[in-house]
Amino acid sequence: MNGKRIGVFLCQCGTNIGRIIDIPKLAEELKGIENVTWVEYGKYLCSEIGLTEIRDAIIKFNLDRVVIGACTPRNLEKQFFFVCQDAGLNPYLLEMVNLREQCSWVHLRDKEGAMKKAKELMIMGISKAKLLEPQYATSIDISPNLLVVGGGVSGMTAAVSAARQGHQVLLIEKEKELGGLLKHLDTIWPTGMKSNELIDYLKENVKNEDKIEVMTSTELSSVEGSVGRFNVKLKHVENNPSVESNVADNQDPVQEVGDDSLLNRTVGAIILATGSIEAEPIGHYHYGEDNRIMTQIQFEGLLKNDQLHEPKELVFIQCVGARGEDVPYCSRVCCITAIKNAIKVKQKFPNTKISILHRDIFVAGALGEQLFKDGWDSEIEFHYYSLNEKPDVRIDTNNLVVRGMFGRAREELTFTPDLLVLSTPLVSHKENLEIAKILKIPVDSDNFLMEKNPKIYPMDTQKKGIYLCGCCHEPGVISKCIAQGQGAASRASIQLSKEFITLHPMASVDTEICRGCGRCVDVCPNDALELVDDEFGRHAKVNDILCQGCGTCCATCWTNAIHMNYFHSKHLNAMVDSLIQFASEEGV
Amino acid sequence: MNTLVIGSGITGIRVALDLAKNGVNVHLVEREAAMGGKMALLDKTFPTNDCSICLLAPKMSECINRDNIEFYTLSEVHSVKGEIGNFEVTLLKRARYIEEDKCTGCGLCIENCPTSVPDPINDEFSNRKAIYIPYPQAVPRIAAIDPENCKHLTEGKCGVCKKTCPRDAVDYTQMDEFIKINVQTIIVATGADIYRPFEIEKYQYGKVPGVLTSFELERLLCPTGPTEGELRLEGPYGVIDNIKNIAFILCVGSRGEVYDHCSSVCCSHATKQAILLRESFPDINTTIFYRDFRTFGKNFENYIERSKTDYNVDYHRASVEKIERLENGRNKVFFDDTGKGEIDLKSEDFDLIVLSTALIPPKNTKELAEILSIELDQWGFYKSLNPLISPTSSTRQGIYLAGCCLRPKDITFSVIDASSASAKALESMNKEDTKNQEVPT
Repeated sequence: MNGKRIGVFLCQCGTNIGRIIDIPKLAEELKGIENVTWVEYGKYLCSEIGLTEIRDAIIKFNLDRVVIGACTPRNLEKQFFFVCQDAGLNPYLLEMVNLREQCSWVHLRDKEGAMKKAKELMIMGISKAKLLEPQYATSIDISPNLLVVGGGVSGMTAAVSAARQGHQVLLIEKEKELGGLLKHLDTIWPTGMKSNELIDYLKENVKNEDKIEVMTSTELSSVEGSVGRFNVKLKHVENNPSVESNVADNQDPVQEVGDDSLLNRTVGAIILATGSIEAEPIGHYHYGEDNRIMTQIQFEGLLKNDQLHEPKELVFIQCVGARGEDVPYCSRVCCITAIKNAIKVKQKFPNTKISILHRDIFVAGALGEQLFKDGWDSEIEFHYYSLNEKPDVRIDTNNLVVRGMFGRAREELTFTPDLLVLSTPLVSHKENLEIAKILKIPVDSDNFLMEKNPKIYPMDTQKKGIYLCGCCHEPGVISKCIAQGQGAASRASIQLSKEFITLHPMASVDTEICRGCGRCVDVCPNDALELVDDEFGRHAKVNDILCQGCGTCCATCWTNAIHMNYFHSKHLNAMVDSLIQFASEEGV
Repeated sequence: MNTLVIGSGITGIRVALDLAKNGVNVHLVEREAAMGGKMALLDKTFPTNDCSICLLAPKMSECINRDNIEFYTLSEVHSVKGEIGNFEVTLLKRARYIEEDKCTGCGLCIENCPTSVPDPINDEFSNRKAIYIPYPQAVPRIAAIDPENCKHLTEGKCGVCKKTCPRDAVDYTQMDEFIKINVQTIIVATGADIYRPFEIEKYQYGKVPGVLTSFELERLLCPTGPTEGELRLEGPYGVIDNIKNIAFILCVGSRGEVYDHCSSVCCSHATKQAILLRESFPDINTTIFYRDFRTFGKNFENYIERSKTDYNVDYHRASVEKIERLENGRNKVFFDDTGKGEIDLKSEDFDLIVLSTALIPPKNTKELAEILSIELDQWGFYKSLNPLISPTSSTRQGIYLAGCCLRPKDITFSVIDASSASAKALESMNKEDTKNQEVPT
């Protein structure tokens, strides 16, 4: 059973690992280890040629275990898993050792130490691999339904796109009306469409799709399960829920359980489109002390409702509370919004003097730069200030006075605007944190929901079957939210179009040892364990659909009856033993 | 369901994979000899400094190994007839002079080929042979012969590669061929080119040693580049080593200089390169001259902050007025950081000057637009039907756009576009196919 023919493959990852760790030397040193049949290294194991070499070696040398020293398994384990499978090896006999994130990247300045650690990590990996056992995956049917959380522009777009791709969609919105942040805006860059028209257009699209069911005043209460089969509980957030359903009559009626404010649904995938909110500039530039000082969205409200009387002078201050103040990031929408609003005022009141006090004008791309140019052409003044010389705002009896040092030349300027508009960043809200908690997905350091990989998976989350779009991911302009909404629908559609989903067996119970005490059942955060009575007596049983592989049950079990298939205590013991043996041989 | 995807950079790859996984038969067309586009040539990606090819390579092998993705290299769209739901597309597949199913990519022919030519991938900073594999992780890893430089194809001499190939894969008689395919939708993902500022006098690019574009520096930093990651210049503009001070100049060719648009990625790209340089060569000083700093993506601002606090990258808000070659081999940068112009110019000396140049519409954009009957916008990129509500739809029904061919953007945005365009294509194909089909609840 134990591995007698182990293949070791080391990756230099270009220079990522290779520059710090001498991989050819490491390969040479690993060759003498008991049961290691084959050692090979490459510049990029993940490339087509690298993968082929691994596949060929498994077949040629009849390898029965594979140890790969490369980057984090989060990245590419799947790739190597399939290579093993392709070569006819049970893919669960693969062990990955992280020589990049856990060695070369963190020991950049200590090559010697990194080399020693790399060898230790590899020896531990090899000793674990010897004890790995074949596992067999199971599969489940997929629920073809999609849940979209959030009925703003991103959520509506995602729902419409998914329905048009042929999927049944449930769209929930916590407020009484669809629309989200869009409801508070005036016109939308880059086309100048009125926000009301955009909302109507999106709502019309939603209404025209038979496959979309809309539930407003509804929130996510809890979610169990995993991709393909999420059991979702929804709750109404107000006493008077308005369920605008346009589902055909032959649909299943809404299920109601126990508490009549809770609804149960099963969905195959979830798209999160829960948005963000404008930060309140409390403590900045006398906000709240004078009604002539307002936020950008409050100002949009004036424009939208045609309540702006001709001002003699207007001043916008950008980056209020952003970029190193209350939040570290640039909100990416505020410069565009400010210039767009300033141009609109100029068109209506050409004599109004408008100044935008900015740090960096953030209007990337072709259309953004065009807007900036239009701003210049409309005779809007742009004045640069730096973070350590922020403008000073005073409230005089009649006038607001804004004074500061501006431009590269640090010229002193004074403004006396009738209105002062503060551009504050979009920030994540507490509902996003709650949703992250319910779905057990991570948030980033700014409390936005985190993507799986910032470059190649910007709409996926760490959890398969859960996708992101719009401002709950990061602040972004509406056109980007729309693209992302459509994109998330395409991502979700991939899961929903499958016939079944493969489940990897995470934990298993030794029914001979288990006494059926039920401690594991109590601690499991995913309700993946239950007690059953059968021919083996009373014992715990793992539900592979619900199990997320956290290991809490194993840590709790006092008879060692539950084990993580891939992190069995015998694996861990062997790893520690091999490390101690190595250290003693080296004379540490 | 059948779709044509034009371009196989990260955007085209993602479109192809999204569609293929949704059950669509994809025809993926690439002008070059291998897939990967610009991302395959980058060293790392901002803001995580994650290795670029490591993110891309698995996607490329997924693409080539899928049964429902047909990949055409050295191919271009020759003509398109018909309309949404039934486009008749003719592809022109140029001869590779290699039998694709015989070549194993062993590289013997390349070792023995006597003809060296400047490598276009590295902007002539290194050479490649007349028979070549574009880059080490190329997918497919199959050699191709450059017909303009091959001695056998041009002069009827040589023939070494054919003699060396152990599998007899070289076929000098191969001809260009036309391939006809029928598709319901088309997605354009032809990316962008990198501007080389020969025409802008003040930067001295191509005239004095030690002035590079940021993409050329990227190739130097890349472990598979011409110097395998060593910072050493042996290009057409002379030899430079012992580099201690590096200046980055942003917005070269962008924002009104030659092209009107802002190229979106250069600020973060320069920061990334400065960080990588400081990390690998701690005694190098890096200074970035910028106009507005545009950190347009998630966690970019932190990245910039980190470059200042952890890596001591210098940032200078100034416009660069001219560069002068000094006798000691260095270059003097004259810049204006007060806005007063000529009367108050400051200067500093640098060993290497890196120009962050514009991303521009790729060559043949106009020709392809004509073939596809789609419009261009005022910047020369493909035009969105409506940049707000249908950002990835072209001006013609059934043809969708994604990535940098739409306007300059980073990998993240390109991937978002890719999935968005895939969604639009799926929507329109689903409408025809399954209009009356019941979808189980």
